[in-house]
Amino acid sequence: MRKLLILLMGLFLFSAQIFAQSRVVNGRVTDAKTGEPLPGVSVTVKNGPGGTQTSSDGNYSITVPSSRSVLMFSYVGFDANEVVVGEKNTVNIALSLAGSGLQEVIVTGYTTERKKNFTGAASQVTASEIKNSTFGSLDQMLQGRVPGLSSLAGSGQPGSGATVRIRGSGSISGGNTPLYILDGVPLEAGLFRGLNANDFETVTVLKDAAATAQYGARAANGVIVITSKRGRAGETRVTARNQYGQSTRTGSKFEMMNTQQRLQFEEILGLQIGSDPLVQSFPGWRYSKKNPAYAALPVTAPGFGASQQRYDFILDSISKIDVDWQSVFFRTGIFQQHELEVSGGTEKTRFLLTGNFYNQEGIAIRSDLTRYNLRANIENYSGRFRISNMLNLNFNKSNFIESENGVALANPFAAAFLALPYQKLRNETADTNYTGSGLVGPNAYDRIFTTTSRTNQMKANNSLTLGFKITDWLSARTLLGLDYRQSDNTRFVKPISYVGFLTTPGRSGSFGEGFSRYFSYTTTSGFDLGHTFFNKLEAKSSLLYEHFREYSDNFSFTGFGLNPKLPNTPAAIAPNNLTTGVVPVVSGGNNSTALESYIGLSTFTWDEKYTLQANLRKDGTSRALNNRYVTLWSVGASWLLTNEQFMQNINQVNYLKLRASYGTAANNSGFPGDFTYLSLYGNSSYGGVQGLAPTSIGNPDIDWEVTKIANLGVEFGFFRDRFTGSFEVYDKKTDALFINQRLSNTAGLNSNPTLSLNAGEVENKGFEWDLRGVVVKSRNFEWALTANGNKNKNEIIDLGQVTEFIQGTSIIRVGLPLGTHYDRKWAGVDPQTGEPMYFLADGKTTTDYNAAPQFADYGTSQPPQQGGFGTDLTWKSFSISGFFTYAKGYSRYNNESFFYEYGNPPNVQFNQSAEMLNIWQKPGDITDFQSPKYARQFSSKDIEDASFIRFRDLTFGYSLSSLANKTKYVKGGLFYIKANNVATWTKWRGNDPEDSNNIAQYEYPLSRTITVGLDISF
Amino acid sequence: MKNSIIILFALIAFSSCKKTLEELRPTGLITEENVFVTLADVEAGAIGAYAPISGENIFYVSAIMSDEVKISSENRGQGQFLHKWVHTTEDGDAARAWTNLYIPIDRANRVLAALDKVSGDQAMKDVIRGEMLALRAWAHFELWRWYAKMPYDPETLGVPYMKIAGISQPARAKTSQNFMDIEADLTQAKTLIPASYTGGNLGVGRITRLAVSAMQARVALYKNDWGNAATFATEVINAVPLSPRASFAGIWQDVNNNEIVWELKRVPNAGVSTFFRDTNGDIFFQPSDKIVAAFDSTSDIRFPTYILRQRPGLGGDPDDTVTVRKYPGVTGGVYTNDIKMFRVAEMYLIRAEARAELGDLPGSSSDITTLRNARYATASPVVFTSKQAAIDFIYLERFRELAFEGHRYFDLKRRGLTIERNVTDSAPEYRTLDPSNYHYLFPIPLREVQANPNIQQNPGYQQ
Repeated sequence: MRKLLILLMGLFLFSAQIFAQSRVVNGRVTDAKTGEPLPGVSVTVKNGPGGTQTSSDGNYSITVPSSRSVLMFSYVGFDANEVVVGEKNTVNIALSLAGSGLQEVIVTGYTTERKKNFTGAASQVTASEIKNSTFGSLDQMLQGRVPGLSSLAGSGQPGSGATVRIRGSGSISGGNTPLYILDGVPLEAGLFRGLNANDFETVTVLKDAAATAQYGARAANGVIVITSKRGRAGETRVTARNQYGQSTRTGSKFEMMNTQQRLQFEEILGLQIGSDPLVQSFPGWRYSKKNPAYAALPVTAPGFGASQQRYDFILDSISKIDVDWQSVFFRTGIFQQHELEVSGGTEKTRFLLTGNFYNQEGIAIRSDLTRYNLRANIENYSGRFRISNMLNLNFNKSNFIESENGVALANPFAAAFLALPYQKLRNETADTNYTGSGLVGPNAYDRIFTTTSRTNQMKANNSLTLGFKITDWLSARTLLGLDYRQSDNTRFVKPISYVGFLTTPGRSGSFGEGFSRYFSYTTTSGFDLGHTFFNKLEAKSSLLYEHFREYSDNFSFTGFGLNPKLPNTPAAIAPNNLTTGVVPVVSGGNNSTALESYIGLSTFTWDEKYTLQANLRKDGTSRALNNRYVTLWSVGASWLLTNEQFMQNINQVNYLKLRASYGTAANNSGFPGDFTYLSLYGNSSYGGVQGLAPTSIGNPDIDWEVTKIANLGVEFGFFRDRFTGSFEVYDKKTDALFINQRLSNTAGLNSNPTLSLNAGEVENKGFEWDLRGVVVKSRNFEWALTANGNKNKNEIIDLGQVTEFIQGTSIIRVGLPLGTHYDRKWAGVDPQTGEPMYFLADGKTTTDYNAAPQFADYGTSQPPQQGGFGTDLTWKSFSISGFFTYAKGYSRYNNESFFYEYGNPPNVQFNQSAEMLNIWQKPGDITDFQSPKYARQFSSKDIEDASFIRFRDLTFGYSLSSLANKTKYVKGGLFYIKANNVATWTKWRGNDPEDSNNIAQYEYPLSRTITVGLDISF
Repeated sequence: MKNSIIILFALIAFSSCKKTLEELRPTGLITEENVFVTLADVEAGAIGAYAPISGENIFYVSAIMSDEVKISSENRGQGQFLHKWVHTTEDGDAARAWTNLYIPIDRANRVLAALDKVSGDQAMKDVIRGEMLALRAWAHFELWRWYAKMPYDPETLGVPYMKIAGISQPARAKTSQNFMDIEADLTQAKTLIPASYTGGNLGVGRITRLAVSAMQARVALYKNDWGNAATFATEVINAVPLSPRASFAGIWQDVNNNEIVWELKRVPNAGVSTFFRDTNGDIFFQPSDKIVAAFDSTSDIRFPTYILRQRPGLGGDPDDTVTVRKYPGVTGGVYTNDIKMFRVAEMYLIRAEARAELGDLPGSSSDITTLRNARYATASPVVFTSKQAAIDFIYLERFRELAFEGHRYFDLKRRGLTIERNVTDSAPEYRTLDPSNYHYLFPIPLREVQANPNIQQNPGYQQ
C-alpha cells in the first residue's frame, strides 16, 4: 500500500524523471574524525522520493534516477553533506561533527534550517563548549560564549542561575528573561540546576525577528533553544565521566581593620565625638588613656575596682584577641561529578541513557548542591511513523547560607567583614559560642549551626513527538511537552539557641516548610509541507496550532514553640495556643495561565542562492482582556554570494552570505501580573476579625508589549573555512512598554500604589561579531583563536505621560539607558571642617545634603559591551585551552563599602576598612572620609566601575585516542585538569564585580574551582 | 497500535484553549463584581479599613522627633535622621503618615460607595457609614497634623481631602477647607452612629459616637476653637470615668479598657510594635533624661507604668537600664499591644487648656486636679494664677500623661514652640530645633512629588 502510494505520488509529482535511467549506488559513511562507520545515517536523493539509512557497518544502497542526481547525507549531530553522483557506483563519504563546518543546521525548535539558507541571526554553542562545566546552571555557562548575550550570575551559591539578556533590555518592568526551549518544550525560567548540561547537544540562541518570530508572543527577549543528545545506532557505547576538585574563595581588594587598628580607630572617634553613646561603649575609647574619664580615675582601687590599672588591664586583654573572621566563615569546598552515558540502537530505534551525580560544596560553610539526573532519550522510526521521547528526571538538594545576598548581619559574607576583630568566637570553658546583642561575628557563626535552610527539588521534563508522513511533501506532527517542578523549602530554627530565643512568638525556635509546584504542558500540532518546484525553488512550510498552559501552586506553614527534643521536624511544633499567641502561620495559593497560538512558517530558496523566510503567528493570552490577541510576523531574506557564478573564481572566499530581516515579537511572560486587567480584593484582618481590602486597580486595556527588530548580517568563511565568522547590525525597538506607573498615595491601595499600563518605547541598537580562526595547522599541531563580542546602545525613547521616573536608586529618563544611576554627586570632604560636600547644578558645592540635586551621569548598571575570547592549542594528544570573558562600560552601587567605610554612628559599630584610619580629624586633613560628626549619606561616591575581564576557564587535556588504538576495549577518552574563574581584572573594590543587579549587597561571590577529570568510552 | 497513536495524535492536536483564555480567573483574590454583594461584605470592607492604620507610627515619630526619647547605644541607625533633624524628602519615618493614612481613607471611601448598592438593615448601614466618615475625617486630620504648618492658619496649605476612591493627582487643599471637610464628616458621623452602639465584638476597637466626640474635641483644640474643644471634651468626660489608680497599669497591659475611647486592636502575630526596641531586646530609643526627670518617681503611678528602670534580662549594654514600658506586651505577644488612640485623660487636658484660654482658670485647675488625683498617691490641688501659668502647667502635664502616645511633637508644633532636648540627651547638633528651621515641618515624601505633579512641597525641601 505504502509503496503504491509513493509510486502514485512519484508519478504525479516527478513524472519528468520517471523516464530517466535509474540505477543503484552503494557506499559507506564514516566519521571524518575517527574513521568509524556511522550507522543510521539518513541517505536521500535530493528532490527525489524515498530514502534509506546506513546499516550498522555504515553501508547503504540506494537507487538514483540519473547521474545528475545529488545524494544527501544527514545525521544528527553531524553536518549534513551532499554529493553529485556522476558516473560513480560507489559513493563513500566522511561526515564531520556539527559545528566544524558550514553545512551545519540551525535548530529553531519548531523547524530545523540549514545554516546557509537561514535568514535570521542565531548563534550556536556546541556540546564541547559546555561539557564538564563545573557550573551547576546552564545560564552561567553561556557567559562570553554568544555575541550579544549577557549572562551575569547574582550569586556564587552552587547551582544559582544568572541574569541573561539578549541584545540588551527592552522592557522596563516586564522582565527581560529569554524564553528557554528544551527539545521543543518551554522551560520554567531561572531554574537550571535540575538539568545536566552534559546532556545537551546544542544550545542555539535566536536573536532577530526572523529567528525568533516562530515563538511570537514569547520571543521579545530572544529564545534559547536547547536540544538534548540523541542515541547513535550501532554497537552500544558506554562513556564514563568523572571529575573531582575543589572550590576556593578568590581574594578581595580591601582590608578590614585588625584589633590594633580598630582600637586605634575607636580612639580617633572618641576624640571627635566622644559624647556619642555608641562611641562611649567602644573599648578603644572607653579604656583609652586619652579619654578624659580615664584621667579622673584613681591609679589603683581596692578589689581591682574602676581604676586606671583596671582599664589598662582590660584594654590589654582585648588587644590580644584578633579574630580573622574570613577564615572563620569560609572554607575550601569539594566538587565532584560522576556520569555514565550509554548510547546505542539500530537503524529503527536508538536510545541514550545518562545518569549523573553532581555535588558541589560552596565556599561558605553550609552551602552546597547535590544533584541526581537521569536522562532517557528514545527514538523510533517505523515506516511512516516517527516517535521520539526525551525525558529528564532530576532530584536536587541545596543547602543555603543565612540571608543569602542580603544586607543582613546573619549573612556570612556581611558578617565576615563587619564583625569586630576583638570579639571572641567561642567560650572555651563553657564550650559554647558567644552570642548576644552587638556580637556580629559570633551571632552569625552560631546561626550557621542553629538554623537550617534547605531546598529539595524534583524536576521532570518530557518531550514526546509523533510524526506521520502522509506523502513525500506533506507530513503531520504533534508534540506533547511537560515541565514539572516540585520544591520543598525547609527552614528550622533550633529552639534552644540565641536565634531560637529571638523567634517570636514562643521564643523557642521555629520550623517552617514551603511546598511549591509548577506544571506546564505544551501541545504543538500541525502539518509540514515541502516541495521543490522547477528543480530550483525549494519551498517549505509549517502550519501549527499550539496550546500552552501552566499551573502553579504553593503552600507553606511555620510553626513555633518547638519541643527541643524533636529537632528538624514539624512534629516539634507546639499546638495552637491563642492565649500565648503561639499559633502556626499557614498560607498558600494557586494560579494558572494559558496561551494559544496559530503559527505559519515558510521558507523559499531559489537555486541555493536566494532565500526568503516569512513567519506569521497569532497569539492569545489569558493575561489580557480588551487586547487578548496579537498578530506577529517577520520576513527575512538571504543571498548566498558564494553560489553565484562571479564568486567561483575567488578561491580564498569559500562562503559568503548576506541577510536581512525585520519583524515583531511580544513579551507574554512580561505582563505585570496574571490578572492586571481586573481590580481585585483580598483578605484582610483587624483585631482577629476577617475583613476585605482592595489589592490592585485593574486596567482592562492592558496591551501587549511588542518589539520590532531589524537585523542585517553577514557570514563568511575564508581559506576553506579556516577563518569563519559573522557580523550583525541590529535595531530593536520595544513599544507599548509595560509600566507600573506610580500613583499618588491618595489612590490608597497600599503604601506604593501603582497602575499597570502600556506606555513608551525603548530602543536597543548595536552590532555583534563572532570570529574563529585556525592560525596554525600542521599534522601534529594546531592553534585556534576565537573571539566574540558586542556593543549595544540602550536608550529610552519615550515614556508616555512622563519623561522620567525614579526606580530605587536608578532613574528611568528619556534619552538615557535603562539602569542609569541617579544620586547626589560627591564633591569630597571639606579639608577645613571635615564636612562632606556635594555638587550643585552650577558646579559649586554644598554641605547640605538636602540642597544637593541628584545627577544621572554615573553610567548604567547594564553592561553595554560584553563578550569572550579564547585560544586552543593542540599538539599530538595534548591540548590546552583558555577562555576569557568580559563585561565593559557599566557601574554598580557598592552598598558593602557603605557600611565598612561609614565612619560615624551608627554603622561605625561594625568593623571598618583599614583605610578608614585616614578619616578626617583636624583642619587641613585631605581625605575622602568625612569627619565622624557628619551623617554618611549615599552619593556618587558609592558608585564604582564594575567592568571586568575574567579568566574564566583553563583546561589542560590529554586525549586517550592513542590508547584506543592499542586496545579494543577503550574507544576514546580524555584526561583533563580544568580551572574556572582563574583570575579577574577589575577596578571594582567589592567582593565580585559580576552581579545580576545594580547594587552590591554582600552577594555570595563566585568561587574558583579546580578539577581533575577523566572521560573514557568503552 | 498505530490507530491508537493516531487517536492520541488527534486528541492532542485539537485540544483548543480559547475558552480557557476567557474563563481563567484569579483563585486567590476576589474580583470587583463579587466583593461587596451583601451588607455583611460591606461590613467586612469596613473592618478592612481599620486594618492598615498604623497608630504606632504616630507614637514613634512624635517621640523621636521631640524630646521624649534619646538614642540608645544599641541603635543601629533606626530613626536617626529624623531624630537628628537631618531628614530628607526620602526619609521613611517622615513619610510614614503619608504612605499609610490614605490607605484607610481609600478603603473607607470604597465602603461608603458600596453601602448605597447593597440592601440590608438601615440602622446597620448608618453605623457603618458614620464609622467610615469619622475614620476618613480622623485620617485626614492626622495627615494635616503631620504635613501642614502650625499654629492653625486657615490660609496655609493642608492636605488633599479624598472623598471618593480613585486615581487622581490632587493639589493640597487649604487648611480652612480641610477643617470644613473634617468637621462636616464628623458632624454627620455623629448623627448616624447612635449612642447605644458599642462597637460590637471589637468594642472600643471600632469608632463609636463617643470616639467621634473625642475626635471633634482634638480637632477643635488644634483649630484653637476653645468653646467647641471644651464642649466636645465634656461629652466624653461625662461618659467615661478616669481609671482607679490600682488598675491604671492594666490599661497598658490590655487587661482592662479603662479610659479608652478608641483604640486599634492588635492580636499576637498580627504585627509587632517594636517602636522603641527590637525583638532581640536591643533598645533603639530610651526615655530621655528630660522626661524621666519630669515625673515624681515615687508618688506618680504613671512613672512606673510608663518607664522601666531595669531592662528585661536580654543581655546587651548594662548601662541601658531605662526603657519605655508603656507598651509592655501582652501574654503571648511580646511587644504587641492595643494602640490607644483616644483616652478620656486627654479630654481633661483639652478641656483644661480650653477653659484656661477662655479665662475659666478655676475650671481649668479643677480638671487638672481631677486628673492628678487619679494618678498620684497624694496630690495637692493645683491652682492656676494666670493663663500662661495654666498653659505651661497643662503642657507639662500633657508631657507626662501622654508620653509616648503621639502627642508631644504635635503639641509643640501646635503652639510653634521650640523643641529643646537636655544636654545629656543630645549632641549639640540636635539639641534645639526652632520652628523656623525647615526640618521642623515634615517634607511631602519624594515618592508623592514624583507621582503627583500638582502636589506642593513644604518649604526648604527639594521641590
